[in-house]
Amino acid sequence: MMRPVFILALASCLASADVWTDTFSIDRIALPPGIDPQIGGIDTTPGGNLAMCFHRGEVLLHDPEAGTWQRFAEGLHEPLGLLAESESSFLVMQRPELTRVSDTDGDGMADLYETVFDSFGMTGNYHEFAFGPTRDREGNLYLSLGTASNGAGIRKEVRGRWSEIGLAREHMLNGPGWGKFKGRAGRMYARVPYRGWVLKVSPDGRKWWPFASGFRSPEGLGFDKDGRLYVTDNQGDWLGTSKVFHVREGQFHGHPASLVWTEGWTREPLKVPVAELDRMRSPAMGLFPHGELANSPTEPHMIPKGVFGPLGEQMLIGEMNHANLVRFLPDPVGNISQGAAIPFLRTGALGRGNHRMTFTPDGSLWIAKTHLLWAGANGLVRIRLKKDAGEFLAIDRVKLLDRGFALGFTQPVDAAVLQGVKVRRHTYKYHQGYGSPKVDDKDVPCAVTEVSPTTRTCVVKVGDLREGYLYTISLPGVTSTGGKPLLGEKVYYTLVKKRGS
Amino acid sequence: MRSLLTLRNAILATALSPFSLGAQDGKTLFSQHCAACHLPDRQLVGPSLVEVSKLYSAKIDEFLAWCKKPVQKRKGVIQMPPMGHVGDASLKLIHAHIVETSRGLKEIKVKGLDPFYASPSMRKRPQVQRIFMPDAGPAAIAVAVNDHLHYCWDAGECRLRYIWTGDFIDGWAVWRGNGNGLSKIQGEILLREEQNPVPLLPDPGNSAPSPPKFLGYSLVGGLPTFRWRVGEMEVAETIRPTADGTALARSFELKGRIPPALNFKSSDKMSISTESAVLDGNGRLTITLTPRP
Repeated sequence: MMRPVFILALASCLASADVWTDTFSIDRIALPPGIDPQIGGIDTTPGGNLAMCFHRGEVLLHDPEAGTWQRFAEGLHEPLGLLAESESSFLVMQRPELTRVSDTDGDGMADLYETVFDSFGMTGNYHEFAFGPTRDREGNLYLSLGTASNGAGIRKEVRGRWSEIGLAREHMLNGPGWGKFKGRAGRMYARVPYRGWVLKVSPDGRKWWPFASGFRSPEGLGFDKDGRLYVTDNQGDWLGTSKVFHVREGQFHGHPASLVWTEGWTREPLKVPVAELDRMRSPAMGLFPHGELANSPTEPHMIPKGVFGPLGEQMLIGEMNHANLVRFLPDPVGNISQGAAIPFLRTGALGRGNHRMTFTPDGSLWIAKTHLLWAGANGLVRIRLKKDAGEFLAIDRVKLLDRGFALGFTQPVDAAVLQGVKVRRHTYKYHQGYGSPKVDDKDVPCAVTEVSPTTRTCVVKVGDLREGYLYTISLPGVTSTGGKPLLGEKVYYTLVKKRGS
Repeated sequence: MRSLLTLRNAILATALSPFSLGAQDGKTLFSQHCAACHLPDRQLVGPSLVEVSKLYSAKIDEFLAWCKKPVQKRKGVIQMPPMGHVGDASLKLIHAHIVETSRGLKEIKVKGLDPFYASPSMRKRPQVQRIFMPDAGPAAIAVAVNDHLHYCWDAGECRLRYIWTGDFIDGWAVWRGNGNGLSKIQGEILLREEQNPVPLLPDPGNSAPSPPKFLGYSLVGGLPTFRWRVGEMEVAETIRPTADGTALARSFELKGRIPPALNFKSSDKMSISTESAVLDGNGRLTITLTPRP
């Protein structure tokens, strides 16, 4: 009686053999003992070493060739990002400030902690994280500031100017009375400067500019090869699902709490009609369906040219809750940024908590993990393209057409295996509520045509293309003509604007 | 009639949903929406399935209500985000999965002690640790000068807040999770400084001083020298242990447009060598702070 069940189970195991670990090696790297292994930031030094900052404020250096670790700095406050300037100087984004941590006497330990930028407010609320920095081609630094959560109030002492817009300050205080007032504070709030903003800071830290607003918990920032600034944001109030934005100066991205720090702003953001907020906001470049692709996206990071084969110079985005990364292929239509998100390294071997990324010159991707008691993990993971992986199959181009989507593959695919392609579309509510159900979620008729093994492309014809929708193109069981399975069997295309519309 | 209809709908939803939802069975739904925070037999981010099942196995309506509008029940844990977007039919499947999975399991208690309390970077002396501190601004810095004298310096206000004796800090309330807590002082406060001993002079042509600007700190022998600026004055402050380690030597070095003297105030637990201290020709002074016997 047991046998059929056993055979079925075995068959299903074989069918789901891990296509990712056939192509990539995923290794967990042991950290030195005695350190809380949640890593807030990671970067590669000019000499090819790794620098990491940890939950309790340590900065450690790691030589991946020799396998050695060196303690460099200590005592930082919840650092969530790090940029290496040299072997002995690092920019670290900690909760209260952007700090340059450097060793000036050459003994291998930091002795100078210089405040580069701290012109932003803090209420002491736990959700006021500081993220970044990332750097543009001119050397300017960009950082992002999380809003406060009504999971707690504010502390008695705050840093920075207090906005009088909203609930009276005495009612905002943490403590036994908070339960009575929290419902009126806004699910997330921004009562001190530039919470919910991306800020730009000059290379020397002397000048800075409020750059863009409308963020809730903008966990990661990164530039793509064309100089687009990507910033992720997390599903919650006003965000039906998690998103990645192409951020440009002066834009508002939809979470209203931050509006109080717009110059000349006087209104209570929660009383602005939703339709008006909707007209003000710049839409996301990519929507990541909650529960499927990403629940808490993190750092956008470019794969260096020549690394991971044909995927070089594409963008990866980390994710906390799911055992996958996201690969994002932009497909701008005129001035509008939009594109396709594809699961990457979707395997239990990767695990959750994928928070920060860096590449070393040998082509290894290093993933720093954290959780802060939310969904996630900890430690350091190294990912390498296997030498014997051969030519793997992935989608490397997605282009919106007026009749559907053109997909480009890294290997030739024949028409027969594409017959299982399905397309479904849905959208999300833009509202004060937390998250959103899928709205108007339905299968749309599609047909795969114009399959060209020579150009490695096909067209998925879709009759019903609508702006403001997320199109999920499923490609189950697709293989190359050489029999390689497709890495990333779903394409999530965020259609902001139709071509030619 | 209404309750009968509700019951009928519930039965229909339960009976049909595995088919109408395709692969969306309770297990899959649970792994998509809940597994990141809930383990079967022990507390993770949220309570175990054993605990959830104990509360809600026979109360599906209350379970649905909780999922849609959760509140914070337990101190020190994170409030669950509302799950209304999952939908009633799916939440019911998740409920069934929770009850099924937790059947026969027992809760394993997880202790709330800091596992890194004794780690090298936490026991190093001197130690500088930026963390949320009680009775200070949010940009606080805790410093262990030696094994028994410690102080809190506020990088927002650019001033010493208090000195204590005993053990250093227990930061577990902050470090255990996302920072929703304050560090605990493990000892007795000897002195609180209510205002900056350096008079903040108004900028020329202004009636009020501009807020002080924190510039950072350098370390010598692990002890920090804090630097800050206000208007045309730059200040460096260092607190070191005295030679026998029983008291503190506190030094200032001021540059620019500086006041003639700094003002300090002893407490009933700590005496200060000079309460109104005159700066020397180089803008320097050192006072001694001694715990009273």
